[in-house]
Amino acid sequence: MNRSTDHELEEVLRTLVPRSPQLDVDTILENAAERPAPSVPKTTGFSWLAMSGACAASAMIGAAITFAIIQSKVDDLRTQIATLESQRNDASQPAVNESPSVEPRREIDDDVPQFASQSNPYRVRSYSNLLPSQNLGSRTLVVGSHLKRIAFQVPYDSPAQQDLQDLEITDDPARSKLTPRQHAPSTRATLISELLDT
Amino acid sequence: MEPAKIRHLIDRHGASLVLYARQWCRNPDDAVQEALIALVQETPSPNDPTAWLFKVTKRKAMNLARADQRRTKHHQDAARWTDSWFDAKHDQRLIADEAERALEQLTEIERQIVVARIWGELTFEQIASLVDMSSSAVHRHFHLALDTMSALLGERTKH
Repeated sequence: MNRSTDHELEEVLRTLVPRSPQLDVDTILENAAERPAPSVPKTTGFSWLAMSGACAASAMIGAAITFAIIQSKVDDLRTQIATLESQRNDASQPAVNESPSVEPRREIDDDVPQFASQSNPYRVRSYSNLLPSQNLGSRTLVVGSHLKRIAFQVPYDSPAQQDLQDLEITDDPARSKLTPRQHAPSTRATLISELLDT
Repeated sequence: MEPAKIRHLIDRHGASLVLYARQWCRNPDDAVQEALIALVQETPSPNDPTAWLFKVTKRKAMNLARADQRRTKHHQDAARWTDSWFDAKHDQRLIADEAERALEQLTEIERQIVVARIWGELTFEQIASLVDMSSSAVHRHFHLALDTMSALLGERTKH
């Protein structure tokens, strides 16, 4: 069918008047006033998009602020660590006969190899197990520039061997003394340290 | 919204809104009234109140139809509208009845488009928003619907 026929039909249909509603404006207004307004306003897709965007932006801003605070704390800690390292460096260049009692103590980690740094030359640089004799635990470690072989006069499989985990080393290169922790009195090991200059 | 504007909308679009609502429910006046109440409560007022009214009237009419179905489930026939769609004088009664039957033969979407276009006087863009279609698709459906109606009316005229 062509468009002119469509147009004619449209004209005919337009002459038909739909039945009028029986509506009263006052009734409509009264009903509207009596009924509670919708509690949740209708939102368009755009509004939802805007709300979602606002929420996302708030979350990002919050995350950025939190990150900035954390970063600032980390920076503070780094500064403190650097200061302590610097102080430690100053303190770790003792005279040969300086009393070891003033030296800080370091812990030895039996399982994780330690590596020295310029800021801490006395930190244990390597620590490897040697085959022990039947009744001696012996280990070699490097403390600062010194290779030390340490023999523990403890049966290798005795419970006291476990206490060696708690040994501490003093930072006295002259004496290179190993002492057990004070809080590990069960350690009955007698420590023999032997300085092996390389 | 001011009462005068509501009154103007009823005078201008009330009849076409009732015809539009009639496609879903047997109490189209109630659907239109509910839509007008919602319009009064709507703040801010919609930019295009006419298109807004058609959209809300459709929703209200569908809600009423569902309620009707629940109430008269055992009387399905009662849910069908019985009064005439058009307010025709005696000499136009035949045409009005034929047009009504032809409209009933259209698909729901075609009927919506024809009613909104011819009696609601909405633009194709407004109708596209109403039925969630593109303007070109609405245009195509409109002319297909007119072709169908024309064929139906032609057959009836021959008989």
